[in-house]
Amino acid sequence: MTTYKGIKGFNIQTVSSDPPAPFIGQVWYNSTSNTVKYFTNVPSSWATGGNLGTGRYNLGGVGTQTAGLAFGGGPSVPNVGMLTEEYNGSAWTGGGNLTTSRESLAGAGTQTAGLAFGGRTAPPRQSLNATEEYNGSSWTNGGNLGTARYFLAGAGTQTAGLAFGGASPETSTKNATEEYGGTSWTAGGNLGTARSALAGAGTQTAGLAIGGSPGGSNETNASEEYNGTAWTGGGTMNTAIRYLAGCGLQTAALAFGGLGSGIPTQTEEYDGSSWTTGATLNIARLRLGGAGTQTAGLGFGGQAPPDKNATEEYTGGGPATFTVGSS
Amino acid sequence: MAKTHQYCVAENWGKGFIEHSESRKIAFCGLPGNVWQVPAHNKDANLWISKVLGAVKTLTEAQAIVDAEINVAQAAWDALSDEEKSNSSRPADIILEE
Repeated sequence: MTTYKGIKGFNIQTVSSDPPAPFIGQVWYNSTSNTVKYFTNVPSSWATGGNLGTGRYNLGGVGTQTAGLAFGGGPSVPNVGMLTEEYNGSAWTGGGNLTTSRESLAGAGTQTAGLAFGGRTAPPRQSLNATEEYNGSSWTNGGNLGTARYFLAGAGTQTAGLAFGGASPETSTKNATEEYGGTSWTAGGNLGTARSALAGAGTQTAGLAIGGSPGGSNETNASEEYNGTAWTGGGTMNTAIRYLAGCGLQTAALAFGGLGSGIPTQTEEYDGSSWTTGATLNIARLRLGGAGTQTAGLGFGGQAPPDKNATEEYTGGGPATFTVGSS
Repeated sequence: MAKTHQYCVAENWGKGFIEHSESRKIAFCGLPGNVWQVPAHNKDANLWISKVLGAVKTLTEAQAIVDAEINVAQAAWDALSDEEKSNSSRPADIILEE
């Protein structure tokens, strides 16, 4: 009979607790838990999370994988543009309603200190400049954006937010950037490429603009990085995409879903200089919400069609400990 | 030609419907009408279909379900105003593969 020692030349080490810094390929027997464990590299993956209470698209999203916030969105009938839901890592529960019903808005911050801004009304369409602040239970009005717009992107926090790009009926795409200081918006540096239906990540002083539409039914694979004053060109995505979601930091971002040339399941990871392909979404969709980090992302809602209430949780790839006999 | 994919209908109940361990082993594609495309001749995919109590469909049956959903969505898009159409794309047909 083939034995481990016969293959490897040594026996599996018996330990009372897991090694603090195992190496890739290391196998051990944990005598306390009576389990054989191993340490190996695993690829990134998406798994389903709890479904949104209300399926919707063009919604806003902020927070983390275990403390997410979804707000606003379409369709207009029935009106879901005021609804807020909070995610705890396994289920969504209702939060306080937005004061201004809207879709195609953007957000920043956390589940207990969120920021919603821009968007548009139900038909007849009107671009919005309204900003609202969430405290974990209710929304209150903040300072208005200088430029009303929808299909914009957001980044940062409730007291240091960033709004960029977007569109309005008057101009198909916008390059304007605005910075929120907790009470009012002030103008920042313009995007190099005006675009709408883009995704955002990062902070007010280290922001990231991802993909989007520079106009018409086109999409771009360009990203841009913000330093608090000006935007400069970032890495080129592998897929040109619009109506996507994003999360994370300027140097560790995640972009997923959206409308491009193929089925909208693609995920890409950014390291501050280049984009690489991550695990594909299990459920194809665009116009979805996003939150979290590059290694613990959250995607929710969107359009397939039909409108989706599905949530997926992203786990980045890397080394991890597994127990033999468990999945 | 050998089948590459198999199809089933199952309602996504949320957490636990697709685990990370399953997602790493199986190439899932969730489609309109609660249709799921997974690899054919694949033990892990078969186990997942059993777990979610999926109703296995032939390619033709799955295509009909997807088409029905897409047709409804396309009709809804066609009824939109020109302004609304300019901000969205007509839902595209999805052609399933054997």
